[in-house]
Amino acid sequence: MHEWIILISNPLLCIIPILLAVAFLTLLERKVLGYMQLRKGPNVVGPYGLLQPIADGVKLFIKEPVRPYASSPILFLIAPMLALTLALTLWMPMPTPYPITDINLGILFILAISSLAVYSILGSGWASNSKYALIGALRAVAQTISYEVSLGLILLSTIILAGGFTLHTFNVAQESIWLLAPSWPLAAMWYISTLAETNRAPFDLTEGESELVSGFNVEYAGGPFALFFLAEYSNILLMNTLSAILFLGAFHSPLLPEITTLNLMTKASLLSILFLWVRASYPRFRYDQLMHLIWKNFLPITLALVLLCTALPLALAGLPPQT
Amino acid sequence: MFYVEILSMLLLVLGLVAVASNPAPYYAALGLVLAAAAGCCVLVGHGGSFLSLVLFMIYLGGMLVVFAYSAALAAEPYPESWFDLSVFSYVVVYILGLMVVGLCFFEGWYDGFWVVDELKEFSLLRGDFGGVALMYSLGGWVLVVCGWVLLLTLFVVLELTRGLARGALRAV
Amino acid sequence: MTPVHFSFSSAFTLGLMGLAFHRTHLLSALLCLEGMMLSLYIALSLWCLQLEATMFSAAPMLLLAFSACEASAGLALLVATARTHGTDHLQNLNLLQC
Repeated sequence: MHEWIILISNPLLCIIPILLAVAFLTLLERKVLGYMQLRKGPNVVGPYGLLQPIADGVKLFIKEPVRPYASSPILFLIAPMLALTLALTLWMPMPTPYPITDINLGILFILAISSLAVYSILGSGWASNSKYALIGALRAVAQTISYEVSLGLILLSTIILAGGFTLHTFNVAQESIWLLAPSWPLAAMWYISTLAETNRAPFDLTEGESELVSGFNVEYAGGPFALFFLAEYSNILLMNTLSAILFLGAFHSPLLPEITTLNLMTKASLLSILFLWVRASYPRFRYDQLMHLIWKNFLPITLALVLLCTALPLALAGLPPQT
Repeated sequence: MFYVEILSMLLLVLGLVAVASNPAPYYAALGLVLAAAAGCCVLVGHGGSFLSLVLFMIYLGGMLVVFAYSAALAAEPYPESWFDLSVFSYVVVYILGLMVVGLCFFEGWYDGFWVVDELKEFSLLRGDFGGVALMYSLGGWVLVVCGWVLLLTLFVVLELTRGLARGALRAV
Repeated sequence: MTPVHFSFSSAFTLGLMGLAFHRTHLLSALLCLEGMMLSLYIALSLWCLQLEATMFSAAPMLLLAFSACEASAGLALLVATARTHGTDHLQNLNLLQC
């Protein structure tokens, strides 16, 4: 009995704050975008519009879920569930500073699970049996797997610098200096790649409203759409937390672990606000420019930097200790 | 854990049955995804967590996505799933064949379930983790050949998909 | 023969039979090849895990690299045939004129 309660309550204690954070991230996005365009944003429901995300959620979940007649019904429902499940599973090995599941190969786990997210996109696009959805899904998948290559290579070089696949190692490795300082080109490319990986503006070609109506989720409405939406924003928060862990490591003292959490989450939310700023400022890329950016610019540079990050610590006898 | 292991072995074989019974490519890719995920579970159960994660990342995350992606090239108006008659007969034949072969070996089956002893004698490296890293020091020429093959494949792919007029394959 | 040996060897045989008998789409043939490579990877890594010869765990990684090469060349061929023949049915590849 005791174990069962722990098995249920521990993940819930991780999931509920994430979902709350996602809800307020959507509010923050609309507020920030509003003030950047010299208007107020949502301000009717609750003080300063604070209850707006709850109202939105209630509206989305009591709306009728549309099931298109020609769709493949099981896959159509499984895809959004898979998306949210993967997005929440990604949070499990995050050291904030004590993870739910303490995995040795935490970074590999995160990479593996996040590469599964394309299956939900592909499945939803194919299952809705509509040309807009299929084309949107193909574009989203092409973009996501292209940027995953550079994400993996950047991670590899930071892993070499930090000395392990465990996410805790990054906290220890950055006690004296943030990895942002020695590897700022990597950090810049990482940040841009996370923008593209989470399909955010200016890389939001999957939902380019002018040509594809809304991308792979045109046919979705109500509850299933809300699941996609939650998954997308939870991925944004996760990617920013990961960037904060990788490049802006938080000092961890075992006596006051709360300080680490505060530190880390402040950095993560600042990075998320930067996401919103980017969305308000930049126009959308053209598709071939997007692909040229990854395959012709990022990939050669990251390959060269991986070689550099391997060779330099070896040559200067500065390899981190192997555990 | 033992039951999970047996279940994932079963799923591995069933996934391959789903691929081999010739459904539409979409469903075949789905079956292979299932088989690959089950294969990762098998490897984890036998103590190869690093090998399994690499398989998961490269195979499921990289290659099979591209396969499912290019299934759009092989689209059919009425894709055959496993419950259409022609495919289903193959599924039945394959499963029956598997059972017959399994029964032939049934006498010699012994209850073999082993996990590589992890963290043996104060060592901090997992076995497979350190073993893969040895590729870079003891790999020698195989490593060089592997790198060259990857580079060569890049040019092969570029040459094959260059376009109608200039590529290696031409429309007559 | 342990269950795990039986499962990966039967997986390999199934992939081989699928490749040999069913060839409507080029993509199905490629998928059967991939299934064979998957069972080979599992077999190789189980080999080095069972013998606790962890020095050999580089072998499945090399196999994975080569199978990635095979997959990318096969998919490039698929794209090329889809361009030249308009479809990827293997029957069409027998035609002299397309």
